Amino acid sequence: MLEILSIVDIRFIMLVFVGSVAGLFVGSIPGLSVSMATALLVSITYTWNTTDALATIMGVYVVGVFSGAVSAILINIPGAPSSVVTTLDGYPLAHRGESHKALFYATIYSFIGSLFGLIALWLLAKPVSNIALKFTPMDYFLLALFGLATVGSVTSKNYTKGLMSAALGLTVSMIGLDPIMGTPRMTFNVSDLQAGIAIVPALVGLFGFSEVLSVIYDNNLEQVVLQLTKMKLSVKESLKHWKLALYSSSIGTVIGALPGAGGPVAAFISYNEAKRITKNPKIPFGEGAVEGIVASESSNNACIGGALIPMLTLAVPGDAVTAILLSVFYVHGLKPGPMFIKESPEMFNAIIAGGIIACFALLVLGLLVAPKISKVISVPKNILLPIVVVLCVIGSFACNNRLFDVILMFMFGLIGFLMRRFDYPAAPMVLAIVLGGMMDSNFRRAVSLASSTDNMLLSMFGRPITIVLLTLTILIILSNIPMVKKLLSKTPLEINK
Amino acid sequence: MIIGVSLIIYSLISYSQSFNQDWSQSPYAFPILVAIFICLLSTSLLVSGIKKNKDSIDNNKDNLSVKPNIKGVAVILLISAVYYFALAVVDMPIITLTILSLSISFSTFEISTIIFLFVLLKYLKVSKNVLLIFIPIITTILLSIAFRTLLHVLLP
Repeated sequence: MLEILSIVDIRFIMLVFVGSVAGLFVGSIPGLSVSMATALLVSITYTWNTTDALATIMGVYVVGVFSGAVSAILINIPGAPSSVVTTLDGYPLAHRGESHKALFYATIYSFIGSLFGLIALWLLAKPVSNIALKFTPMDYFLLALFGLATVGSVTSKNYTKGLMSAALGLTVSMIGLDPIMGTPRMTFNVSDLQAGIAIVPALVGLFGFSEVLSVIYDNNLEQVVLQLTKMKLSVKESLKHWKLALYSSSIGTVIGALPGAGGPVAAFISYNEAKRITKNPKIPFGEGAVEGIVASESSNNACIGGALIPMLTLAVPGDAVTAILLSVFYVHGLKPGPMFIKESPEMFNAIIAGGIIACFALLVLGLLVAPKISKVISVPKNILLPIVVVLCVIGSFACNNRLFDVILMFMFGLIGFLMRRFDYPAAPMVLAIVLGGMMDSNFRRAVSLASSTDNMLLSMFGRPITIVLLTLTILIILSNIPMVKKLLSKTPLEINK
Repeated sequence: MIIGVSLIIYSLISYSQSFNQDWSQSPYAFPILVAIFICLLSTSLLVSGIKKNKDSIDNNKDNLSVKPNIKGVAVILLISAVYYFALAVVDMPIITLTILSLSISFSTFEISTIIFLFVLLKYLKVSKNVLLIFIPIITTILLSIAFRTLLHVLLP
């Protein structure tokens, strides 16, 4: 605890607060996303001190995830993907004239969820690192494969499309110089491609520019904002759902730790659990039940700490934002992984400290500023979209200071737009671009090591950790095959018939 | 399917031309694995697509009322392409203005961005002339000050 406090000074707190304010606006305005803001911050903070960069990014991340609830409640459009479930009860509650109450509950329980997740990170990171030290190259390969298989299943109605998106992301990740032999692959004599496809232009294009094109395509430029009516609310009354909040936060932390899962998945599972365990809510679920807001907001914010666990200990991102955070580490010369906490304890402490301070900033901003933000989020989309395009250009250029990245951003924007039209999720592609290099090099290392042994298959797949990871990956893939799904959903009586 | 088959062909040709013929060390082993996977997935998608063909025709009849704005997307892409070429090709000297110890630089980026924002706002039917003039200028100046002056981020 003392090591965490040693990082904190006035400058650190101010940077977290600046990031938190930015996260509040970015997360609450539909069309801007936490992923986009974090991607832009990677380039902006390139020349900064690493601790300062992490402080700002943690502020954006923690408050950005919460602030998606503001537009979800006021205009029925989630500002962040993890706030989709909040619209189910937040907007109906606001429609009943209780928008202030909905925002109040969202703030309190987002605070509880974020704090829970970060405490879990602090307690679990070291034990997970110790297990990760025993991982071989094949284990890392299978872990990344498990992550891609999971994200393909949870982010798309059609599992095959999710896997296809991941496979295309792996293809993109192979462009450039091979990390082991230095051979150019798929560069087609274009010198700019030798460095590979940078993650930031791909992210900004897939999440930022593609959103602009989608809004134009759908002719979706209108939005109605509900008026905020203030009412007296007691903290004691609002805290009576603390048991549901802790349960939802646990779900959020575990789901967040699964590579590729994230806020939306955790929020859906927690919401379903809340519906199952809450007997006789005052207002039914789907019509403004505060239990729905409690479950969704505490779990999606707990995902933050959960997603940071595999990112820091295994270098496998838990969601899109941690995938971008991973690039912050690489840009600053740090190596996340099992040795990270031992080699860079001050960076680990900076993340925990930044996250905890951001939780308190969330509480302050959520209670004082969020209710006044309705005027800002009502900025018409036809004014917002051109500014978003310019921000995308700046963000993609700033990463490597080359205009080629701006072309890549536009191309990925077009690809992302086409993917949305044909229901291909973008999240698996992003994850695959980040993990592809690691998968490739670990796979070849595993095969190289095994080829010098007598029994190649046994040396590759014979270890307990490898068997567990392989089994989990196969189970995830099999459970998503339509025939197997149909069989599992039939009762024994129907099977016997 | 095209991507998968092209990747297999490319990897096999490159492998045959490379010095190192050991597959375990070859940089083309992983691309071939991914390509095979893509081909299998494409086959599965093609088969399910053919099976659902009749349903999709029926659904399209219901969706006729929603008119997608393909032309709008094409126009945005065209305007963005012109913006990119203006940034890449046009080279003008940087003019720096200092107001109250704050320096604002005007270069290709600022001029192109002001014109780009104006054109895009006009296309997106922002009708008030005050907004059409002030939003591009003020936004560009704010971005220039925030990124170039305060954050020392290089702009295109």
